[in-house]
Amino acid sequence: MAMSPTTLPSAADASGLLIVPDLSGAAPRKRHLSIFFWVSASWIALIVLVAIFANLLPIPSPTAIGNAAPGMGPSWGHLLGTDELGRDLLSRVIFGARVSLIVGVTATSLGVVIGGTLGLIAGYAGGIVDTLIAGSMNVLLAFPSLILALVIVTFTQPTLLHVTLAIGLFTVAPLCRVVRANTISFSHREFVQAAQVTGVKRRRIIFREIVPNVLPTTLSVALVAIPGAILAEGALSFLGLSVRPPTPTWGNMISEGRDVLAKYPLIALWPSIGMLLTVLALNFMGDELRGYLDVKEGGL
Amino acid sequence: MRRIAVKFVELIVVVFFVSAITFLLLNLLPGSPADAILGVDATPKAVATLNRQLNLDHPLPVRYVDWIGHILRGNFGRSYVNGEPVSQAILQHLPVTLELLVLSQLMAFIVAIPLGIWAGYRKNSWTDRLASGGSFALLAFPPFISALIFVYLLAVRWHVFPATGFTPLSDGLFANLQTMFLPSLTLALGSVAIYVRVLRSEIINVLEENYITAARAKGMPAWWILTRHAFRPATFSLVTVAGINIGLLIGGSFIVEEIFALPGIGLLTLDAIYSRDYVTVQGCILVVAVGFVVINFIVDLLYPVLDPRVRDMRVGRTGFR
Repeated sequence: MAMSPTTLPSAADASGLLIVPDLSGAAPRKRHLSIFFWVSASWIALIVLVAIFANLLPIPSPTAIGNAAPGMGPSWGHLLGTDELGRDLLSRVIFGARVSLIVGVTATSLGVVIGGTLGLIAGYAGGIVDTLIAGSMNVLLAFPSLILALVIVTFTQPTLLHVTLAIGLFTVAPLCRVVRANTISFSHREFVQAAQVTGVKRRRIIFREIVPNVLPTTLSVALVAIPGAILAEGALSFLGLSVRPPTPTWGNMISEGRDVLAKYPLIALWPSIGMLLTVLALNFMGDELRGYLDVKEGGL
Repeated sequence: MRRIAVKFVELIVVVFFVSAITFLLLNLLPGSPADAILGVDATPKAVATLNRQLNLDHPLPVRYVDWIGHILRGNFGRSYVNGEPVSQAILQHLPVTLELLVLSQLMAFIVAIPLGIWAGYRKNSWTDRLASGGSFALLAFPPFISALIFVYLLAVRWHVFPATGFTPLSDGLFANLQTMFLPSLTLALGSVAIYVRVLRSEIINVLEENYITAARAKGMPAWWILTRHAFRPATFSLVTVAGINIGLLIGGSFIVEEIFALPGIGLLTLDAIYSRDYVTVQGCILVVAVGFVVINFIVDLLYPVLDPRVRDMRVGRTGFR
């Protein structure tokens, strides 16, 4: 149940008193993943599959206008109905999932790779290197992330690449912190000291001794960073600062649905459900995995 | 005292970096102000003249010092779009955002504190399951979805509240609160989810302490133990998380202001972004980011007030640990 620094982009830790509430204290280690974990995983698998194979599915084009009446309710031809321009909503929700998933996964991967590497270096090297890296992460965390992402995207043109980079920038600092804290705690353990004493090379210690131990925590934190990134993309998209229409994204569909909310509430409803279920499923999986792997963040 | 001094130095350092990044960001990113003001097909000569007028032909550090000097004297420059002083625009818009933030946090605390305490006290009861499950689900709700649900149900369907618009406080408290209710509620939801979760697990931990058992053994009533003995140590985490949460709230307030057309700093920034009003964007971002840093600084200072143990704690090499 521990709350990740990703769901709570923290700057309070800029203090020397690192106080992270250890929310895992109440829950004992879980032995089995619950049935809901697998339900969540199935939903994610489904969404990923339809997003990948969207072009092969027997659905109308997400951008074709004029094949159907606008604002239709669900029917056999259009399972979720059509939007205010007569575009098929099911197809738009499926194609919209692509943007969300690509941004969510890529931005988080950036955080894992860059933040993880910096965290390993800072945690293992210590001293001035650690001071510099941890210091710059604190400055990065001192910005309200959505606002800075907004500015970056505005001044670099809203494309998929820029949106991903802008959001990825903000997954770096939280992941760096997690990896750094874990690296520090593992680098004082006996097996690492044993390796150091026997003259094992530094690179080998890091990759053979520390990385395998730090990885599970990192990945479970990363799993919770993905829905965070999806929501951030949704917010940018909603404000018209992500991939531009007519390319559907869940965010810009909700924004378009807002304009006709009184007349066609379903247009905003379907992409909202898609986003909510995906975020909820990922949050839930992250939470379960943390209990399963017994991730403690109390010492971060 | 020493602690406060160290914190203060740290605050200055972070504010310096934040201001430098705000300055650099809008100066280094593509899309020059000359393009924004004159249009893309302006003659090179016109661009050069404008750049000289705006001091854009000086090296960056000089311009930064110049800029920060003006800011410190309260001069944020003039908007490229309407020529109004940016400081005036910010002062006009800031109170609305502050009211939104304060109201949303009030709502969140009023709901979350009793709910969190009760959920922790009656661990695994159906109330707890409902509160925990509900707050977990709420975490998945971004403000732009919950806002639309409220607008659809309470404004479009049942006409309880106006869908958008803002009535200033000077037109009466009730009229003002009527336009602020839905926006504040939208913003409060995410905070409620976070606070309930934190408070619940804190209460569960605190209730295992020996002094709680002692209080129980003395026959003190449960409500007394919960409010007098258990709540205060639990607020420690609550305040931390509330401070951290401000970052999310600021992002959320931008969206909420956009949806409900509230003339706050978020709407000002977004309008400036859409019209490429570079000076206004810069001023707003600086105010928002520095405000965020300062709030976290204040939260840090609150710890010793809440927890006497911190007062005696040696704060060694703090800051960039």
